[in-house]
Amino acid sequence: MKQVGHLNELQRKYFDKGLRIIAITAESMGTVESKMKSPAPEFWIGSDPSRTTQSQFIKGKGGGIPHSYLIDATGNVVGDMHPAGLKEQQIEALLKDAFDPSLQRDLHGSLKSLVKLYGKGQYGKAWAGAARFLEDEDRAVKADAAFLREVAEACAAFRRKLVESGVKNKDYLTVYDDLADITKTFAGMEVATWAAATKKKLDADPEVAQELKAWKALRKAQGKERKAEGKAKKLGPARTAYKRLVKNFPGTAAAKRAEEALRRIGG
Amino acid sequence: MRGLAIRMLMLASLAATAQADWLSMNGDRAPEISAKTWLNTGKNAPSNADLRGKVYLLEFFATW
Repeated sequence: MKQVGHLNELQRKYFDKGLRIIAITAESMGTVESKMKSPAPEFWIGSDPSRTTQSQFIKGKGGGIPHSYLIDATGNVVGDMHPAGLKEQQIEALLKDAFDPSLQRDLHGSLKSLVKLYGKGQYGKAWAGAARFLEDEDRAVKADAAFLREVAEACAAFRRKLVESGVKNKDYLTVYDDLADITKTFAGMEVATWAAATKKKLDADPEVAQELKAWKALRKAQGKERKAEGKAKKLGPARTAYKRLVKNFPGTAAAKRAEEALRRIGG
Repeated sequence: MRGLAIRMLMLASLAATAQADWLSMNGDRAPEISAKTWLNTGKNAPSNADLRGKVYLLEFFATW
C-alpha cells in the first residue's frame, strides 16, 4: 500500500467531520503489521483472508487491487475508483451530509454511566437518563446533562433526515432498516414514536409494498450477478432474475436499476 | 524515453483490466463489511449500522 501517509492525513483532517477510512486486505494482520511500519496506518484495517467482503464487490479473483469505494452517509455507494483517482473535493461534498455523533469532550463524572450508554449507541437511554440531572445543584452537571441530551437530539434529527430522504428516493429497504434501528436506538425519545408511526404509514401503502418487493428481488439478482464473478457464461441466472424483476415490477425504482444492470451485463 | 512510453502503455492497460474486475455499484447499498481481525478500531469491529451517518472510504489493498 503506497499511500498510507496520504490516507492518514485524510483520516486526521476529516475524522471529526464523520469520515472513516477502512482498508481491507486478504493478507494476515501479522503481514500487515510487519510490512506497514513507516508510516504506521492510523485508519481502520481489516484482515479478511476468506475475502468475504471483497467478494461482494469484485468480479472474479486476482487483479484489480488496489481499488476504492466511496460510501455516503446513507450507506449507498457513490463512487468507485483506483485510489489515485480519489478527489478530496468529493469527500468534502459528501461530508456536508454526514453527522458525527461523538461527544468530543469529557463530561462530568456523575454522568459516566450515561456517557457509556451513549458510547454504546443507546442514545435514547442516555437521553432519558440525563433528564434527572437537568435540575442538579451542580451547574457543571446540569450543563453536561443538557449537552448530552442535545447531542442525542441532534443525532435523532439527523437520522430522521436520512429516512426522509430515503422515502423521497423510494429507497424503502434502507428506510425500513433505519426505522427499525431508530425505534430501538432512540427508544424513549420522540423520534422513536415518529419512526413507529412512519413504519405503520408505509406498511399501509400498497405502492411501498410493491417497491419493497422489487428492491428485495433486486438484491437477490445482484447477489446472483456477484456469484457469477464476471464470467459471461455464469451470468444467465442473474440476467433471468433482472428480466423477471423488470416484468413483475414495472415502473419501480428497482426496475430501473435492473434495466441498467441488464444494459451492463448484456441481455 | 521509448521504454517509458511502453511502460506507461502497460500501466494504462493494467488499469483498464483492473476497472473491469470490479462491480460499479454507484447508487447501490454498500454490502456489509466484515473481516477476521481489525487494527485501529478499538474493541468493536465496525458494522454498517455503526457507519450510518458517516462517509467512508473503503479500500481493498495488498501490502506488496
